[in-house]
Formats: sequence, C-alpha cells, structure tokens
Amino acid sequence: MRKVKVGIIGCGNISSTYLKNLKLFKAVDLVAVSDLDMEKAEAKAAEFNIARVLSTEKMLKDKEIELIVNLTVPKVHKEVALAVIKAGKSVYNEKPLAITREDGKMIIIAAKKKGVLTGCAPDTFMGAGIQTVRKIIDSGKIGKPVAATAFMMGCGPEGWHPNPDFFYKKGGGPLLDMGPYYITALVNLVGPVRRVTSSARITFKERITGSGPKKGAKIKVEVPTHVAGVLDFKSGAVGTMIMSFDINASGLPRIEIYCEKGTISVPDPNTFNGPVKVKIGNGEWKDVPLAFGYSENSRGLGVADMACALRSGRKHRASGELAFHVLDVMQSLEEASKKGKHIILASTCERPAVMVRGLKAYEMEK
Amino acid sequence: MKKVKVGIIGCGNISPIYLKNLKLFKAVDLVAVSDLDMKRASIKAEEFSIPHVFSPENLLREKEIGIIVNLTIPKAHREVALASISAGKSVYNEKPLAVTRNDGEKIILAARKKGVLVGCAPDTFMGAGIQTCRKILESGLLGRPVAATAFMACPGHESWHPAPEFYYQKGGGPLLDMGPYYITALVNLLGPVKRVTASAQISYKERLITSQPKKGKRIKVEVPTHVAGVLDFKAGVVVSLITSFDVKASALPIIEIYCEGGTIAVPDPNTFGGPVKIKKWKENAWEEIPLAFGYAENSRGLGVADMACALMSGRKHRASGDLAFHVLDIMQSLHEASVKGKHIILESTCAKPAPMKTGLKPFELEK
Repeated sequence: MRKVKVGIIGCGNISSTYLKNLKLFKAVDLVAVSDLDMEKAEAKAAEFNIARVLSTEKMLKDKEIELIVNLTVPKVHKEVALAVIKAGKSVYNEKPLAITREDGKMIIIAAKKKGVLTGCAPDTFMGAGIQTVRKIIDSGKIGKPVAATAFMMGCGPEGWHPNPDFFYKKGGGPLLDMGPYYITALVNLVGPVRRVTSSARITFKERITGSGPKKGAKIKVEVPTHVAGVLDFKSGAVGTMIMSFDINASGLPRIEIYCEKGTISVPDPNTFNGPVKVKIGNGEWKDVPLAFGYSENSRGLGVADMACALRSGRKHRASGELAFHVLDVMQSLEEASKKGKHIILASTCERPAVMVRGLKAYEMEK
Repeated sequence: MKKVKVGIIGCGNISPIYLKNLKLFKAVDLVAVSDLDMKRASIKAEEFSIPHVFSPENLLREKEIGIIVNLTIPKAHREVALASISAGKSVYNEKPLAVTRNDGEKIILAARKKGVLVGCAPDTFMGAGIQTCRKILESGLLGRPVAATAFMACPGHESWHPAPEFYYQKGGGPLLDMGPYYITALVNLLGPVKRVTASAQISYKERLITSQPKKGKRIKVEVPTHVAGVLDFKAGVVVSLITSFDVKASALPIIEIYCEGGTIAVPDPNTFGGPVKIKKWKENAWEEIPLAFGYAENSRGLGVADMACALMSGRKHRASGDLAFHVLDIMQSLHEASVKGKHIILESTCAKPAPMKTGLKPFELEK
C-alpha cells in the first residue's frame, strides 16, 4: 500500500506521542510539522527526525500531503480544520472535534462537500481494552447491555498543570476535556445516544493554580466543573455519567456495563489497555485476557486507520461522524441542565467497526 | 416515665422486628396488634406477649391508644392512616408514606387538622451509622459537601422472594421500595431537594420467578425497574442516584458524599450500623471512623419511640410525615421527570431532622 503523507499542525504537549507513533504506523508517512511558533516546530522536528518544518500556510499548499493532524487548542479546531478541508486535505482533530455543535457541523459538512475525510481523537476505544469489552458484548454471551455507569472523578488539573487556566474557560471543563474518552467508549460499546438530561454546576467560582511559575494565581471558573448526567441510548440502555473536577476521593469504578446476565468492568478509556473484568451473578470478578493488539499508548492509531480508509475506501473508525455525535451529547448535557429539560439528540452515528484481531505491530489490516 | 400506648395494624413480614423492639423502647407501651387476618394477629400477639388482639375497627376505637403503627402494604397506607387520624390517633406508616404524592398530602393535611402527628419509616437514618456521618459533615472536618452518589443496584427479588409480584406492580419498583432509605438518609445529611431529573425505564417487560413456590410464573412489569436520577439539593449539592432491579453485579459503592476536603463513605442506609469511612484530600487510604451514637443494631421502631417522646414533650419528632412527604415527592418527581422529559422543581421541602443525642441508655431517646 502506498503510504499516506501526513503533516501535523500544533506542536504542544500532546504532539510528542503522535510524533513518536505516527513515525511507526505502516500506513503513515509523517513528512512535516508546523506550529505558529516555528521554533517549537523545529525543536520537535529535530527530536523526532521529521523531514520538514513548514508554516501552516505552506503545509496546506503542499500537494503531497493528504492528511493533516490538527493538534491545536480546542478553540481553533474549527478554523484549522476548515482551512485544511478547503485545501483539499483530510483532517484528524485532537478531541474535541470543536467546542460547539455548530462548529462541528461546519467541519463535517465542509468535508463532505469537498470529498475529504474527517477524523477525531480519541482513538483509545480502538485499543485492546475497550475492543475486548466490545467483543464480549457482541458475542452475546452475557446478553445485551441494559444500563451503564461512567465516572471521571477528579480534583481538577490545577494542582499539577503549569498552565491550567484553559481547563476552566469556554471549551474546557471536565465534560469537554475528559468526556470524549468516556462517551466515545460508551457509544462504541452501547451505540448512539437518543436523549440526555443532567445537572451541571460551577461548584467553586475560583480555582487556585497549584504549581509552576503561576503558583497561587486565581482562575475564574466559566464552565461547569461537576456534570452529573443521564444518557438514554437508542438501544434502550440507560447510562449514568459524572464528569467532575470537584472530587478529592472516591471509590467509584470508572465504567461498568450492566448486561442481562452479568456486568463488565471497563478499563480507563483514557488508556488503550486493560484490565477487563466480568462478573456473572454472585461469582467473583474475573479478568478477561485482552483479545486485540494496541494495549500500549497508541495515540495516532485513529490517524493510521484513516490513512488506510483513504486508500481502500472503507470507513474509518475514529470518524468525524462519531466525534460529532459525542460533541452533540456533551453540549446537550450542558443545555439540559440550563434549560431544565431533557434534550433529544438530533445527531446519531453508527458504531465503528470492530478492530481486526491478530494484527502485526503498527498495521491495521492483515 | 410516662409511656404512649401503641397499637400495630398489619402483622406481615416486617412486623416481628417492630414487635420485638417496640416492647423494649421505654417511651412505648405496645398494647395491641391487629390484622385483617385475625389469626395472623393472634399468632404474633402470642409470640411477642401482646395483651390485646383487635380487629382494625376495634383497635381504632380504643381510647387509650395514642399511636397506630401502620404496617399494611403500601397501597393501603393512605386508607389506614386516614382512618387512624380520623379516630384521633397519631399514625406512623411503614415506608413509603403513600404510593402517590396526592395520597401523602391527604394524610399530612388530615393530621394537621386533627392535631395529631404523622411519622413514617425509614428510621434507619437515626441509627449510629448515618448519625455519625452527619456529625462528620457538621463538624466541618471535611469542609462543605459539594456532590454525592447513591446506588442501590441489584438484580431484583424474583429469585428468592416467595411472592415477588408486588415489586413489579404499581406502588413497587426499586425507587419506591428502596428509595426511601437512600433519599431519607441524603435529606438528613444534606437538607431538602430543589430540583430533580431522571430517566426511568422498564428494562424487561416480564420477569420470570425462579423461587418457590411460584417458580416458572411470569410477572408483567408495570413500573420502571431502572431509575437513574440527578438531584439538586437546596444547599447546592448535586447527587447522582440509581435505584435498579436490573443490575446483576456491580462494584458501585452505596453512598459517597464528596466534600471540599475529602469524601465520606456512608454505610448502607437500610441498616442502622456502620462502617463509616472517610478519605481526606491527598491521603491514600480510607480511614474508618468509630460510631459516635447508639442504635447501631437493627432498631426499627426507633422512629415510633421518638414520636412517642415528641407526643409527650411537644418537641418535633425526626422520622416525620413532612420528611417522608418530601421524600415521596422526590420519588414521584423522578418518575415524572423521565416521562415528561423535563426537570421537576419540587414544591415540597422540609427541615433536616434534629441530630440524635449521644450517650443515650439503651431504648431511651432522652437523657
């Protein structure tokens, strides 16, 4: 297969994992990096041995590059994605797809018009952990899912992050920051969401930066930091979800899927790994061996999958359609609390295809 | 000490623990039992050495009896309570207060008019476990509560209960059956609720009885069996609640209260005991907190004894009709929120019941 030439825009914190992994995936030829700060881009290019450093404009004009990985901050996801699409290239956004439903929709529609693909992180659901859970569900051995719980109970990133302000501004908050991992995993496992309701609250009006040069600086909180939601899936299953930056300690499991005959304990959807556990009735929790590859940190897997899809014409898994539905779920959760009513979702999506088993390292097809 | 004479109506499954305990509480003089089935009442009277067995009508005519403990099935709670009130007696209902908000309101209004008291189970929140949690919350040790979770997730009762049909019929379901324990405990700890939202679903249209003697019989499910709600408390605390008969297994904790400076693991509110655990901010391990109150064992009837004391002294009782009505309102609003597809702002409210006293002698409520 001819490799797909890929460029990265945005060389911030998350870029290192992408740079490392995209050099290894067989379907990808990572040829260029870009950043508003050219020095930052050059440093990354040197570190990861990338052939070219380009300004964003030049990267978009480069005829050979077919796919751009958009690792900019959430607020500019839309702008960068639309520019990429306009240049006739497929685009893969870091999560979330965009910070509003309207922005997300513009990206999807523009890509469809232009005949290019849209992809979006997270791709953790393609990892060994969640795929093994999916296999258990699809096998029917413990029956259909009837309910689920998903909890991200954190105390907020200001304790360790040197620059935590954006977590508490529009486009931040626990829901947009961590929700994509949890909701994408749930949609992959249980299918699309039909209706949501919630209560979302700004618990503390101010947060204090806890480390780094800004230590002691106050952050004004603009987005809900505790979002307690209920998701009705199309399948009839009911999900209870909490995304919070307000919790110091909890004994809650991360994700549990309650099926007709037993329950699956789902691993952290912010990783690719296990453990996956199943409990039938009064029996013990039993570890289920992972049945798929990609259990280590494989961020970029969704990009490689999209590169394969570009060549073969098949659908890619971490698709814009999936990411748009997840964004719609998140925005609807916030709206439900504000409007005091349940929101019936206008969007939907298909469950992405299951991963292929027995793959060689860094390949997506047999 | 003066005692209040008490009679029980309804000698079913729950009655033995009330009979046992109400004979022991110092403020209560349990003088009579009653049941539509007089034979059943006679057996209980004999077993627990109760002086009188009456028909319900005759029990209500007994001048000396001040409190009727109403242990009938939920559907009959209203009728029996109204008859007791009409006879000029205070009434203490088994949970829930009634099966609808309207029925509950009728009971409360009738009692107010007549100048008698209404009480209602559960009284587990008066036990050592929940009272110790309340003390921790009010001590300020962990700062203000900001959120909580409460989960009653079980597979239903058709695999062990000899006659499980009522769990799946109107007046049953996991919310009305077990919700009172959880919600009453939460209101006692966090205060009243302002707004609720929920999704409540019938996951299975039928349930198959696998217990004897009705093994193989199917039950048509009339009420939601998985209720996933979110409760906004007046104090600002946001609580995620699940009551479910559709969960085969889970690692969910029972109740956790998340405070500014740490978390409290609250014991099973269907018991009076512990353990109570806390995990402070930045500490790795949960720490068990010794129970600071009496009544750690099964003390069902404690709410009746407390109401007897209140009748004699004029103070407020803890397991009150107002509290039970607010809890009933919350439960019905959770169901309605799902059906109507909107959040429900509660019309009812209540005050937090007074904390229990520490250092009480067994079966006493005052020092």
